[in-house]
Amino acid sequence: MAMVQSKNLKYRKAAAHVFMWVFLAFILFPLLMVVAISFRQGNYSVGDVIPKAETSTLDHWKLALGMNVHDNVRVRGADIRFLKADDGKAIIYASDNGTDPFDPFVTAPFDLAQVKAVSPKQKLEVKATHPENAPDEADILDDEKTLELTQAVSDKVAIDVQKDDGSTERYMIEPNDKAGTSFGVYRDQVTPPPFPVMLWLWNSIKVAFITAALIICLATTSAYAFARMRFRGRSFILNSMLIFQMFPAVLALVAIYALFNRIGSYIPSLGLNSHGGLILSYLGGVALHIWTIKGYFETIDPSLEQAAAIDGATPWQAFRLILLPLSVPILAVVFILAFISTITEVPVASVLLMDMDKLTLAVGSQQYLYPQNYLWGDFAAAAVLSGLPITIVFLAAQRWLVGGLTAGGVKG
Amino acid sequence: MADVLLSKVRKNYNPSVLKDTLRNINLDIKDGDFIVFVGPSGCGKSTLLRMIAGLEDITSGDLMIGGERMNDVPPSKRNIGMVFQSYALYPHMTVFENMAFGLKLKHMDKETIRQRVIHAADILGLEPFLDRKPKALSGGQRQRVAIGRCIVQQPSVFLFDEPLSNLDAALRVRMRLEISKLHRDINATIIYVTHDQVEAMTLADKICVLSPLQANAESNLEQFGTPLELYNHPVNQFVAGFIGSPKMNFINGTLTEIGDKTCKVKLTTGEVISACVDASRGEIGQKVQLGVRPEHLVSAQSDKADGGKLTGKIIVTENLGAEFFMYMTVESCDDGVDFTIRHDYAVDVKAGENFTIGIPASACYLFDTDGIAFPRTAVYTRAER
Repeated sequence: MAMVQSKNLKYRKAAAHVFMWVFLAFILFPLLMVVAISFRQGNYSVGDVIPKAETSTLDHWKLALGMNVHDNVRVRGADIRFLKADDGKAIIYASDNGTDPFDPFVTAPFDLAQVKAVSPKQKLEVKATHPENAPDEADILDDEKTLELTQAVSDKVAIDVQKDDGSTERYMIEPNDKAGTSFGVYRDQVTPPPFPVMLWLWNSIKVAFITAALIICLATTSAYAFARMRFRGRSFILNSMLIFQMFPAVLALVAIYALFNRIGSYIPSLGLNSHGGLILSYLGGVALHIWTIKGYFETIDPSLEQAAAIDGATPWQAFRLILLPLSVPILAVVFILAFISTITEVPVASVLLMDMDKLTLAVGSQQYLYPQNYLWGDFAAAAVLSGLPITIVFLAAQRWLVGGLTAGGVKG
Repeated sequence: MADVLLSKVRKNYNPSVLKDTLRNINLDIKDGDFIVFVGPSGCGKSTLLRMIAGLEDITSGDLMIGGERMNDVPPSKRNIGMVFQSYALYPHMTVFENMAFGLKLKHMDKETIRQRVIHAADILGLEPFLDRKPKALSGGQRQRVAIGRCIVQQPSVFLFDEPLSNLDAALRVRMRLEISKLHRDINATIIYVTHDQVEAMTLADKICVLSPLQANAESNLEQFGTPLELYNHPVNQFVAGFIGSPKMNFINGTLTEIGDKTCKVKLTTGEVISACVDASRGEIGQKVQLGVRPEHLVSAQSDKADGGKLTGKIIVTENLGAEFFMYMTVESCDDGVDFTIRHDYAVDVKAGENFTIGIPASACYLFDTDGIAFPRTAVYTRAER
């Protein structure tokens, strides 16, 4: 196999390798940037490409994955006091110090030994209520004792304050600086995810999967007809399909909208603002796949199906039992192509879908970018997330992308 | 097992241009016969076979298999088996699955399928390969699988479409013998298409010679008969030239004497050859073509050379060891056509020399200008040595 080659081929080969690596780096760089932005604190598009540990955050990812983001916010209007309690116990009293409005609370007595026992990163949960009257001045411990107790409970307790409406709010005692010379009351501020990203992702996967599966069904059967059967208008239909496919679907947006509006008044599940309608509109892109599969079918010797016909197979059986198993590689390719083009499609989906909980990820993630506020960080996390199903489908389809399936069937 | 009867069968792929591929084919194939279709490429022999199989429709005429008209019956219902030139094995199935495919479609029970496949594999020597895929088989084994796929179906007619043309020479000889043996064992009606006349001569009970259809010809079925009938009594020049290897030599001449059992032909170069041919339907002075097979020529000195002698200039000699071929130009042959001589032993001649060969009278064939043969009155047999 090894062919004799001239000496300078080595350098050309090396140059080709270098070129390939540079090219790959150029291609992968934008992806790397998106990943970096998704880990960056705040919603900035500029910054380090390789995220630094101290400025990185998982907040964008938490929001994208539908989790609340917790933030410790110093409560300016509160002072830390302690009330007299039994031996070995403590009662925290967060009082109003007059700078900012604050509703004081008093905790239930808790064991200091238990506070000592909590492991780092964990906190002892303590219940608290808003007292109707301010506690007696005499019950409040002096400053010396207060400092001692504050140092003991700092960063170790989580105070769940029962509010009047029944909900709880979480407060903590934390040092104000690293040295631990002053302490403050901190409130656990919860940011809920602004958009249902996981729902969008699920919508995308659902629509793309059903579309790709239906496209496979439609494209294989019609490709079989075009490849193997002779009928009037065959080449005319084939060519016109190709020509129609040259016009982007965006040009027909208005028509698509009007069409599905009308369809929806008869069959609501296929109308506007329904995934059924979206899938139906995507099925219009089947022409190119028919051409692809037809080309593959034509490489398979028709004598295989003729042999099957003589063996007693109906045309459907010959198609299903002989042709399809041999066409698995091209079916995998078409599935991947249909899946990708559906999952990344924006214009049609943005016109047909309206409700927030119906959107696909490609359309929905644009909600992060409105003129007053570009939430690049949250957008980047959602964007990376949308690449995930494509990657998984690719990996899953890889085992079908094999050559040589038809080897040995016919004498070449 | 069934008879196959074709009457006035015609095939036209494109009716708008009125150019038939096959016309007026009449064949009566008896149960258990081994029939071979031969002809040059493009004569429609494969088309005819595919029409019998049902893979091509019949433009007009009738096809009867086992007494039933089959023109409009789909292939699966005709009870035929076919072996394709390309084998057409299902590449994603094992040998066993390949052979069992048709039976499974017929919903036979598993035990019967297994028995039939094992039986067929036994006949063909395929048992060690039953769980292999076709790509792990050699050409000859693939061919046998294709045949086995037919056998398990127990069809009434076997159709072979040039089954050996993709095999190498040695394997082809072996498979030829195996097919011959198979025919004897299962005693089925077999229709076999080939362009190789050795296969045709050795395998066939009867040979059907087809020619590319001429525009105004009545039919392109030239002759249908046993191999020796075709060899010894071809009905026309086409069959005479097609059957026999190397090809028969044709020499131009005119009839000069018409006897009871013999006639005399004067060649364009002046030599007179007497031939054991009944030329009574011809006329004196009529232009004719004299045919003589290369293997029937004898040396000029031999007493068997009772027909006459012919001289030409040697172009090439070929010594194959077992046989010795000489090609020479003879002026009374058509331009550009070599006169071929086959000898059993080498003759000491060189290219460029003149050489004279003897023609036995009983080895001559005679054709009129339309190519129709005059009846022969004797058949030349080569003497034992």
